[in-house]
Formats: sequence, C-alpha cells, structure tokens
Amino acid sequence: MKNNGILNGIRVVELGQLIAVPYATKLLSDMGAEIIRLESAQRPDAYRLADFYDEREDGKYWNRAINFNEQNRNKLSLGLELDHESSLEYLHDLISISDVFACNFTPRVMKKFGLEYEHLQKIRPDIIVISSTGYGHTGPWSSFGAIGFGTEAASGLAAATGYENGPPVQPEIPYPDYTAAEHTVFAVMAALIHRLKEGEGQFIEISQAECVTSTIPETILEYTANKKIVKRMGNSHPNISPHGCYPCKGQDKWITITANSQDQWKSLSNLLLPETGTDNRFESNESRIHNRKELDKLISSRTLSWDNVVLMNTLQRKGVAAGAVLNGKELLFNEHLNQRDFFEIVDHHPESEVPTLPYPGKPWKMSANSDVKMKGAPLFGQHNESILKNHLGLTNESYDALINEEAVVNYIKLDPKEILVSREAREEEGSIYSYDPDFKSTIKSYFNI
Amino acid sequence: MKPQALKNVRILDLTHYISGPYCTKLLGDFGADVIKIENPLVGDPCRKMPPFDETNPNSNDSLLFQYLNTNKKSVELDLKSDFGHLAAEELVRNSDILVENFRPGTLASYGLTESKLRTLNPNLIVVSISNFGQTGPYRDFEATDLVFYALGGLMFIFGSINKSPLKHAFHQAQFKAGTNAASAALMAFYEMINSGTGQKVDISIQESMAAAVRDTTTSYAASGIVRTRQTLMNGELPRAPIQVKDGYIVPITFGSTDWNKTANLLGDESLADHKFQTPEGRRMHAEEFENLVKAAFIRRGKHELFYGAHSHRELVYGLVQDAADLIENPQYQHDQYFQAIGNSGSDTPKFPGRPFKLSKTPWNIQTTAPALGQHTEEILFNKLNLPIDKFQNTGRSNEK
Repeated sequence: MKNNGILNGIRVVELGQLIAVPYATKLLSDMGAEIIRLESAQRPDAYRLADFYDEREDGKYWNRAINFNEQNRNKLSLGLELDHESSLEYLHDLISISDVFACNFTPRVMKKFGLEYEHLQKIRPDIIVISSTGYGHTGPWSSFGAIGFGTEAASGLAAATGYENGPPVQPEIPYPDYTAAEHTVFAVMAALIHRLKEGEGQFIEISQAECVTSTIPETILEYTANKKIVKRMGNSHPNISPHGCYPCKGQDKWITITANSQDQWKSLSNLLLPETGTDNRFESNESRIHNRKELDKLISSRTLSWDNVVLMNTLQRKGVAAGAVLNGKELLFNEHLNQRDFFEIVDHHPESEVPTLPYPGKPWKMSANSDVKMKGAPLFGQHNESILKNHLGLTNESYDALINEEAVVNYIKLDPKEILVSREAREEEGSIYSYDPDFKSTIKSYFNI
Repeated sequence: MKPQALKNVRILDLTHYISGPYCTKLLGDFGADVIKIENPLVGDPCRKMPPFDETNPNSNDSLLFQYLNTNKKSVELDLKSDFGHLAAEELVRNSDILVENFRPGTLASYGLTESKLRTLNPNLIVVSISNFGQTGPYRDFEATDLVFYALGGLMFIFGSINKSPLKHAFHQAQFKAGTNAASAALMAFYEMINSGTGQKVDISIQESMAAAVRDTTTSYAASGIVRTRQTLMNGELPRAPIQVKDGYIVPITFGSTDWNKTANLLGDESLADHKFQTPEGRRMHAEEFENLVKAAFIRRGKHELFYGAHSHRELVYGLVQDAADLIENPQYQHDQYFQAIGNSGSDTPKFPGRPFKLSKTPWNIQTTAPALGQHTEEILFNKLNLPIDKFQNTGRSNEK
C-alpha cells in the first residue's frame, strides 16, 4: 500500500534549474515533501527547451521535455515572473509558509530579489535556506556562473581522469550536480533534524565543486603529503592488474574486468588465457602491473569473441569481478534492476501528451513510510491557481490581474525550431548509438504499462 | 562552540573500506557519536590502502583511512566469538542507527538477524550498503568501482567515441553510495523521531550510480534514442577540456551566444571572420574552424582565459585544476577548505575539509581517526560494563 512518505508535510520552494538543486528536491519529493518549483517564461529552465517526448516540437512542447520531466517528478509548478514587483511579494509570502527555500542563483541575484537568508529569516524565523552554487556563496569565485562541466574541471576530478597520455576527460552528463545534490539532501536532513529538536532553521551553503573535492581525498593527499600529482591512466588501477575495459562481440560492446586477488586471477586466466599458467610475466599482481599493457592486449584479444553479458555471468560464477558496459536501453531492461523494481513508473498529466513512463528510481530502498505514489513532472504553471488562491488566499480579481500583467504565466513564447537539434543531425555527428522506431511498444510491453 | 545537528545520535558502525566509512564520517563530522567496530588485529582493510605519508616514516596509517574515519571511536571485536555476540547485542541496545557494508547475509550469520535486531532494539535503524543490494540476481556479484561504472550506465557515455568507455579516477561510486546512505539514514531517523518506528535501509551502489545518470534510460524510454560517447568538435567549441599554454580549460557557453565574445576572448581576428558567426557557418567550415580554435587556445594561459571568460555572464568556462592548483585556489582558500585533520599532529598533510556549510550547526573535527582498538576498553568495559574476563578468554589479550 502506498503511503504519505517520511517527509510528508515538509514544503520546499525551489528556485533552481538543471540538476544540482532539482535532483536534490526530487529525492525529497520522492519521500513525500511538497516541492513548489518556481518557473519563468522569460528565463525558462534550459531543460524545458530541449529533447522532447517522441521528438515532437509542436504545441506545448515544454511539457514534453525529457530532461525536465526526469528531474522534476512529484513537484508543483508556479509560473511567476520575479521581475514584477508584486511577484516578489507573493514569493516572500510563499516562503513564509514553507520549511525550506532552495536556490541555485548566484548571490547577486539572490540579493536582488531579497532572498538572502538574513531577510528570509525575518519572514520565517525557522526557515532553512539552501544556496547551491558552482564555487561558493561568498568569496572570489562566488559571482562566477557554472555548469557541471566547469565545476568538474575545477574540483580536481577531471585532472586525474582520462586516457593515458591524453587530455582530461569528463562524462556526457553534468556529473558534479549529482554529487552536490546528494550532499544537499544530507545537509537538509541534518538541518531538519536540528529544527525538529531545537526549533531553529539555518543557512546551508553548497559549493558544487567543493562537494566533489570532498570525494577525491586520494589526489589531494598524494599532493599535500608527498608532492605527487596523480597521472591519468584510463581505466587502469595503480595497484591492481588486470583492471580494465575490454571489447566484446558486437557494435560498441564492452566488459569491465578486475582481478582483486590471486584466486580471481586464476579463475580469469583459466577461462580466457589458459596458456599463461606458467608465464612469469603474469604470475603475480606485481608482475601483472609491470606487464599491464601486454596483459590488457591479450585479454582484449580473447574477450572479442564473447557476448559481454554472457562473459560477465560466466566470470561472476567463478567469483571474478566483471560487469558489462550497459548502454541506456540495456540499463533500462537490466534484469537485476528490474527484479528489484528500481525504475519508477510515472503517469503524466494528460495535457502533456506524454504516456506513462519508467524513470530512474531512488538510490535507496526503505522499509517504512517510503513508498510514495509517483506523479509526473508538472505542466508549466500547472499549479498557479491552486498555490496562489489556496496557499496564499488571493482573490479571483487579484489573480486575474496577475495573469493580465503576465506576472503569472503558464506558457513559453519561444519557437522550438530555433533551439532543437534534429535526430538526423545528431546521428550525423555520431552522438547517437542507435534509434529504435518501435520504442513505444517495447516500453509498454516490458513494463506492462 | 556551536551545537552540532546530530549531537547525541548514536551510530554503531560495522563498515569498512570506503562507502560505509564515508557515510558514518558524514554523520560523525556533523555531531553523531560513532563507534566503529573493527576486526581484531587486522582492522578495517582501508588502513592499508594508499596514499600513505611517505615523508613520515613513523606514520603507517593510510591517509585515506585517516580522512574517512574522523570523529569515530575504534573498538576491536570479533563478531564471530561468544564475547563478540554479547558485546554486539549490548551495542545494538545502545544505538540509534546501525550501518554495515558486509556482503549480504553476513550480518545474519553473526547472529544479528533482522528479527534479533528488532528484539534487541525495536527503534533501531539498520542501513545496509552493498554492491548490488540485498536482493536480486546480482546480489552476490563481485564488484569494484570500475564494475559499478559499467553496470550503472555512466561508463557507456564516458570517453571518446573512438576509444573504450572510461571511468572517473578513484572511488566515486563508493563515495556516492556512502552519501546516499547517510541521507537515507537521516530520513529514517527523522521518521523514527516522528513515529517511533525504526526500519531497514537497503543501499545498492549500482543503484546510486543508475539513479544519477541523466537522460540515459529516459532517452530510450521517451525517444527510442540510445546515446553514446563524446564526438568530434564539428564546428562547435567542445564542452570538454581543451589544451591551453599551461594546462586545460573547458570552453562552456551558456544561454545566448554572441560569437564575437568568444573570438575576442581568444584574441584571434581570423575567428571573428563573418563565416564563423553562425553555427551553420562554423559547421560548414568545421575543419578550418577546429584548427583555428585549437591554435588560438594553445597560445593563451588558463587563468587569463578563465578569468577573462567570467567577465561575461554567458561564458562559464571551467578551469581544469590538479591538486597543486586547488591548494593555491583563492576560492578554496577563502573557504578555508583544506584542513590538517589527520593524526600526524602537524599542519600537514592537508585533507579536504567541510563538504558544505551549515550556519548554525557546523561541521567539526573533534577527534582524528582512531588507532585500531583505541577505545575498546572505554566503550566495552567502562561504558557498557561488559565482563572483562570473558573478553580476555577470546585470546585477543594474549596478543597485546
């Protein structure tokens, strides 16, 4: 049976975009918190403006935006243009009946809108305010805008990541946003617990870059203790061999394999490299590290004839750490994740014209009061009327006046053709591995939706 | 001194290596009382993991261990022994949150089954972190950080299209799961305060990765498209590190783009040519564009480009920094981010400090990482009043 969730009754006002704040509030909303997301038609979240369901760009395309819908399930949307003076008043009123205000604007913008902690504390004494910025809320870099590709570079993670002798490499997602969001959730929970006990709110400052640096002590300590700069070494490990990613049968198919112990090495070599039994180049972990390149080459020559999932299962049965490199479709249909019901099946508002879809689930499974019914991401401005009239008590007249002034909005005036990159163009530039024209029926039948 | 958010929250820490210790470090650094149970004689294997302080011959404790185990008390206990069972039961009775990262089933094999734990302490929160979770066909699979990148979906979209998929350096998957475990522990604790109900939390490191990989499964579910790795420049600036005179920079533009701002920043007149003014023009002359861009970047210094870019709101360039750069970085210095929180007793080496700031209930290091068994006597005999003669019969005392 579904329940209300651990955070039922907690109201969060969110002035954020992309991932760093929205992913954090998504995790809170999954646990029952009410998230009111402020949206602007003048400056919409960039995720409202790209990658639409079924690549359809007609009508209210912004309600079909894939990235937006992925990050914003269960939330309420209030389209409020903060440039209007009366809008700020309503925002402050809203914060006065909320528990948390989460913002990822620079301090300059927060100040401009009267959203500093010192000010909000006067409106709501026990408010918890989150500032999540690229580099910090105060200090010499605090005015610098940032997205994940920039904070990852700054954090120290990128400099240590990449192929041997090549440049630093970053993945195709704003990775630090997630790390920052995960730390933000922890920070909010600590603040909520303190508030529950002592009745006191507080100000939480998240530097997205610093959150990532907190997860790479290895590179910091090698330098501050030993004056060593960690070198980029691809998927290799300084102290373990083999430890790599090897090609398998098929288009862009790979497997990762590591042998952590001599037993794992014996099982691995018996299967893939039986002739190396007496080869002293590979007899110990130390000699395998020394002859790493030859060994990786040899393993690659054998894995090529294997299906990566079959090889993974075969190696795992022998106790060897191995994992097939799953692409997006394979991850979605992964038997293990699905037996654990990892994916959340989410209904969307009929007006969005997006059907029920599976989305990545929560990073935890909890046994009590955590099975909350999932709702789709909101239509742009879907909750304007209910929030302004029911939460804030606006009269019909004043609500209509706000609509007329376009201080309250529920549509975006932008031609998507100016912003969209077609699938054909993406295929041409090579950023698409495959396209399945039957994806709708495949999804429907696999997830029985 | 200001109070801490998690003051008086009692953690029984049965974790080792990275994911679990990072979880309990977060809890401890914000005020929880953490009792870390370690295997006699050997201790947490992380004590043997690099890096070490090679300049200090008296220090044989891993620096990674010292980072991950601040604000914890170490108790040596063999959970398989009779005394271990007795002590564990007493510890469970005196804890709010138990965190463990054994292989699934191990805790029960020590006699600490779910029902036993519930009997000992009805309000207890049990957080289990494991490779693939407590259920499912991969439950007993072996894994390393590399394997989590592969089975978590991030690796396939990481790296160059012409090369093998890639992972981040170090142990990101385990840190990620540790952070999520700490959040979930606090959510469960929040519920416990409100309703008096304890519960169990199942953290799969694979799921921590799969939850945080944008537009990957959803790209297929919503458009039939399977995304792949990084492609060539094709008439655009790469959103990837590009070489400059003294390092690397990530030339990111955000929002509306006026090409002249980029051309001016790079100080290259040929890039201001009208044929490069539009995306179509740049694509049409992609090869020439790429050569000019690369040549322009390599002539300039990273700080000059980084600070120059940030005088424009939409040029949000990234500066690739290694550890040496970070120690000198003015923002990190402003935040007093790096701190000497190891047990060397001196002001080096420097460690990452507070991951974020809580204004009223700050991060604080009250004690550095413990020596193995440093608090055995204090906790087991002074605090819990366990019978010392039974402990001595375990053989541990003969080794001392």
